[in-house]
Amino acid sequence: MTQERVDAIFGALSDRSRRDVLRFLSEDGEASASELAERMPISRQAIVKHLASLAAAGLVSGERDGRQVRYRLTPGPLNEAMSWITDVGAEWDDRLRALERVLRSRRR
Amino acid sequence: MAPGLIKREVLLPASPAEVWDALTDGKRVSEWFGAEVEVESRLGGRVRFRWRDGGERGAVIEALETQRLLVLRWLPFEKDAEGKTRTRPSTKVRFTLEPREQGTLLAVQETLPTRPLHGSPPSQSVHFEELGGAGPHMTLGAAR
Repeated sequence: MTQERVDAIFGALSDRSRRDVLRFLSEDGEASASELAERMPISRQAIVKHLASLAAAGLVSGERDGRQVRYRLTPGPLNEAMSWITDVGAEWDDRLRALERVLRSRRR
Repeated sequence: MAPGLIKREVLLPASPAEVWDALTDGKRVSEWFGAEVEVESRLGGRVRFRWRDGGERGAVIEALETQRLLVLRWLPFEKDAEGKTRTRPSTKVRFTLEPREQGTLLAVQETLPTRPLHGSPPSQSVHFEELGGAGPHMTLGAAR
C-alpha cells in the first residue's frame, strides 16, 4: 500500500461524520445526500462535501438517478486498509516473538 | 485517526537495560528484527534497515528516553528488492518499556501520520531542528 493510498483512505476515515456516512451506506446499501441528511445532524451541503471526499478516496461511488445521485460503498479500499493493518500487526507479532526468543537465549 | 492503530504488548524475560540494548544497538536489533539494522542511537539519529531480499528502508529517531521510550518515524519511501523506490506510509513506531518483577513490559504501537484530507502538500525535507521540542509534530515529506 503506498503513502498516497493510505493518506487517502485513512484521511477519509479520520472524520466522525464520514464514518457515519459509511455506516449508513453499509446498512442501507445505497442512499442520496438528502436521505443521509435526514439521518444525520449536519446539513445536506456538508454531507455532499463528505461524499465527495469519500469518493475521491475510492470508498464510495455515486450514480446519477434522475435528479439525484445515489451513493453506495465500494469495499475494495476498505479491505485494502484492513489487510494493511493485519499485515503490519503480523509483522510485529513475528518480531516480538523473535525478540523474546533472543532475550531468553541470552539468559541461559 | 485513533492513536494506537496497531498495538502489541509483551512481557520480556530481561531487564529494561537489556531490552533497551536490544532496541538501540544495531547488532542486537538485527538479531530479531528480520533485517540488518544500523542505529544512530540519539535524538534525530537515522536507523537503516536492509532486508534479506535486498530492500532498504530508513527511519528517524523522534524521541528517546534511555530504558523508557523510543519513537521511530519510518521515512515515507523505501527501496524494494528490485531497487525501485516507492512511497510507503510514514508510520510512527513507539516503544515503551516498564520494569516488572519478572522482566520488562514492552509495548509497541504503530500509528499512521495524521494528515488533513485536503491539507497543504507535505514539506519535502526532514526538519531535524524540530526534533528537540515538539517531536511528534515533525512532518516528513513524501518523495514525489
